[in-house]
Amino acid sequence: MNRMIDQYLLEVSGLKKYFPIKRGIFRRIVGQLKAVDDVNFSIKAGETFGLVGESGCGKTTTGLVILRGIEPTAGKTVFHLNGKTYDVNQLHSKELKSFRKNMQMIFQDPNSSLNPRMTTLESIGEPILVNDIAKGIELEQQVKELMQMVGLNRKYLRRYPHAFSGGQRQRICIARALALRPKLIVADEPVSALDVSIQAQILNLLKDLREKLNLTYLFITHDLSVTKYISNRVAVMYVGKIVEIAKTKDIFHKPLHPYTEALLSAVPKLDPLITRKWQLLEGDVADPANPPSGCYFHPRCRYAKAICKEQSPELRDVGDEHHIRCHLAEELSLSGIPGGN
Amino acid sequence: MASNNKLIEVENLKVLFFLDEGIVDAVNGVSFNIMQGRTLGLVGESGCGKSVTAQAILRIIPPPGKITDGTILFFKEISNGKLEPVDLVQYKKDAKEIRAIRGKEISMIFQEPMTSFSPLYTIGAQIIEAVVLHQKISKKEAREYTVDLLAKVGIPKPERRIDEYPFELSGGLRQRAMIAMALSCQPRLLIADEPTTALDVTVQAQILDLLLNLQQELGMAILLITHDLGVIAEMAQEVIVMYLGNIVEQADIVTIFHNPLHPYTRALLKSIPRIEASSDTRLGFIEGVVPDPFEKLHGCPFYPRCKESDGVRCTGKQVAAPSLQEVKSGHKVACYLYSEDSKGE
Repeated sequence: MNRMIDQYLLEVSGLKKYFPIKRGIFRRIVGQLKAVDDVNFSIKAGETFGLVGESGCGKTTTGLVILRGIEPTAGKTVFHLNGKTYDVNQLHSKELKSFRKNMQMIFQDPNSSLNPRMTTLESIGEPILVNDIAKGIELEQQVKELMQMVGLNRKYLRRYPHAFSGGQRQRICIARALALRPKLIVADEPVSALDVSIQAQILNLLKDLREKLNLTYLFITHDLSVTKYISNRVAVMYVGKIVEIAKTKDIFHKPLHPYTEALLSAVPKLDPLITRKWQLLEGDVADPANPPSGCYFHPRCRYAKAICKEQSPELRDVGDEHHIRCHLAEELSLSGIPGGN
Repeated sequence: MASNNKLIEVENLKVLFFLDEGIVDAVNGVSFNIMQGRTLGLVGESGCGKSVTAQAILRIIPPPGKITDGTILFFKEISNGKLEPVDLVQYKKDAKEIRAIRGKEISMIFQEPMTSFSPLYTIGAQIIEAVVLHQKISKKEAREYTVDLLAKVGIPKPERRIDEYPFELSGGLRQRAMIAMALSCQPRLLIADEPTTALDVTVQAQILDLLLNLQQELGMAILLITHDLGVIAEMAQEVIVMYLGNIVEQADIVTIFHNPLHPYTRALLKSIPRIEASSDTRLGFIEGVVPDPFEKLHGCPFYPRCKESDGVRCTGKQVAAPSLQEVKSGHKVACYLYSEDSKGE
């Protein structure tokens, strides 16, 4: 990879999404569920940025807020495109509509994200048609090119979703996301609903498309092995906050946050000869509506000290593009996945 | 307890689904044994027949599915270690004999505990129901017993949790409650159908650890059904790989991972992203998709996607599906590349 990937495409700072908790007949607001709580990260043009965490940690909400699928409570989402900067959160609805073609989303379940009454041509062609880019024969031609790009046979142009397998449906979704030549693709668990052999096909396709079309991915998943395969850098989320960001190699082999370490040790190893050192986490993920004091992870953290209970740590830079939200990062020597260098 | 004793012997099991569109061979003549106190892993992709095989053992195949051939012998303990085989296929689905075994001797946990518990009853009420049904104890004793069970599967404050409804528990706690229910009668076989697929990795690790500990304590056998080879590697001693209703390979756990023979098993292992692998190595993948279940294939069912086949003996109108043959001690594979008789029967 000798292409320049140092230019930032997206900078997210102070991003927050709070959902009000309402009670009683007057729907009085009694609290805030901090689904995304002060999230900061930047994605370089041409890289895949992995966002991992367990269910309910806010990773999907983060993806949606960036695309303004839902409105953020606060924060900035800045795009750098062709030498100009755009703050997505400041755009008015009309500007947003035309800006949206730069950012697209791929969802987990291709069965529910395709309209069963629309043919492949209609599904993939819809964004092109809506944006007045092409119609008629030309539209058909563009859709055919997109189908070829994602490895679908062109003759399936007029088929309905039910006639495709899960993997093929996900290819249709990818083709639709690519239709407007976006710069950023937010992929939310794009392979989780697929069988392993199909999962590999789709992951390889996404990797190839990134190279070919110079795409940038925000890749959201709960599957650490998938993240490792596809990402250049990875952020780990826990209860609405990013707890660690680093290059993929560092996250997996030299993690600095105890939560990352516990996540890594929980992944089943694909080799029966490796004897397991399970580091079981006690209890459940903290309730984002009623989080614990100090560091949200401290009740489950095996290294927790008094300070962890009292003070909430900040996400800080510890060098070499490694950011960490832990008071004890320098003192601990945590173990990651063996090997790596 | 001698661990090389058979608990279940499945012989030539066939399950067909009679649908309006045609007949689907969901399970196409499989044979295998489950040993006492051991864990047998059953892997394969969706639609390969792994869940239906498990449902056949419990005789809970949903209509229009029917067992059309084969035997499932369950070695039932009649008195002090004396075993007597009972053929589960012989009885009607709801026969007294089956109901005495189902839930008591053989029990099952499912993928999504939210949909397997009734939302209208407390988890306590649902577990007590199973306990009272199979054991001669009073409701009050059953309640105490259930509190102990919930404590045993690691549910905090069990005396309070017993009166909670399924929606009040987190996914991990619900799965623990389901395990408690399945273990309530100390079964000799636990069928676990994708027990951790709906859970996060850290919770998955907790549940797998719990299952391993309970198995050691109670000496039960586990039939673990999953598509996740990582879970299999952690849990199982023996592995069966299924494809399109057939067993394509069977071996001990180390052999399956380190010396797989069937092209499907090999391709499957290459297609999984590994956390310990360098991310520069490109994932292998299996071309194409699992064929349509209504399609009747000649020869090897994996042939259309197989990269290793030489194309001569594996397909053709006259060629039968390869049979499962022992190529090394304890290692069986159904593939013409390893068999002497190249033209089938």
